[in-house]
Amino acid sequence: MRGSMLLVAVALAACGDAPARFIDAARDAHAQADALVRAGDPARAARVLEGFTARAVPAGIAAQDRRVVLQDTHARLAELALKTGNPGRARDAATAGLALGEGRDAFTASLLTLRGHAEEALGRDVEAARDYEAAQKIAEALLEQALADGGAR
Amino acid sequence: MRARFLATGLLTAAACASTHPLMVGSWPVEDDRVAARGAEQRARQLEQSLSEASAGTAPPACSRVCELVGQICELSHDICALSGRHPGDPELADRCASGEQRCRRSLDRVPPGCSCPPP
Repeated sequence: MRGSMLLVAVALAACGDAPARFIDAARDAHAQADALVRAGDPARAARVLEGFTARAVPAGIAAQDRRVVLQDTHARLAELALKTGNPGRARDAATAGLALGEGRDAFTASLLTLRGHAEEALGRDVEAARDYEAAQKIAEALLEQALADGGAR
Repeated sequence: MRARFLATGLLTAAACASTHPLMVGSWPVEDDRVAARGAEQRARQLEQSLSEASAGTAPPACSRVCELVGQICELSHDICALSGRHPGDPELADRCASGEQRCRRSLDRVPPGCSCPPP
């Protein structure tokens, strides 16, 4: 994940016509968070990422692009919260990411899995199992698709 | 979940794959579900292309397949660990059984040409 925003920025730049401010802000937020985590300040890293998610998204960005960039950030927030022993915050971050829209994709599966870990840490085992199972179903659908798209070549 | 690399790949691919790739301006409102399906399909195709473009020695589809199988079986393990903590809970027991079934089914689907690490 550490380099994901950079990759996205590069990819979007290659695509042309990127909404530079939004992508630059995302890349900067992730880079700042990386540095803060390395410096031993995950709480501040989380605040930087929260600040990005709270920003208004510029007009003209496709709904799917908006969703995946923000969901990736929410997933990272959830991950950070779990690592710093804040499962309640992790659950909230994952839920906020899922509220942006659920699909049969890796973003939704990742958020469900992270929320499952948070629920488990909170002692809510039934809820955790539900999230894990939902994530598993998506992974199975993605596997089917991967096999249908070409399988082993 | 170790979906981070997958998410990164999809994110990168989806960014380029958008029908209206992050164009500033106004577009007709469209059904988000249709848009999402289309974008996901394009993302998958592009992700595959990206994998092929940077291919190493292993067949690219196998790494994807093995990653997904690993996730499925890891989640099965997580679900059953929860069920194990609540032996009298039928809902958790059912989810564990279903999860194990999905893990076995996914392992059975691994193509002969792929060598996935054991879950």
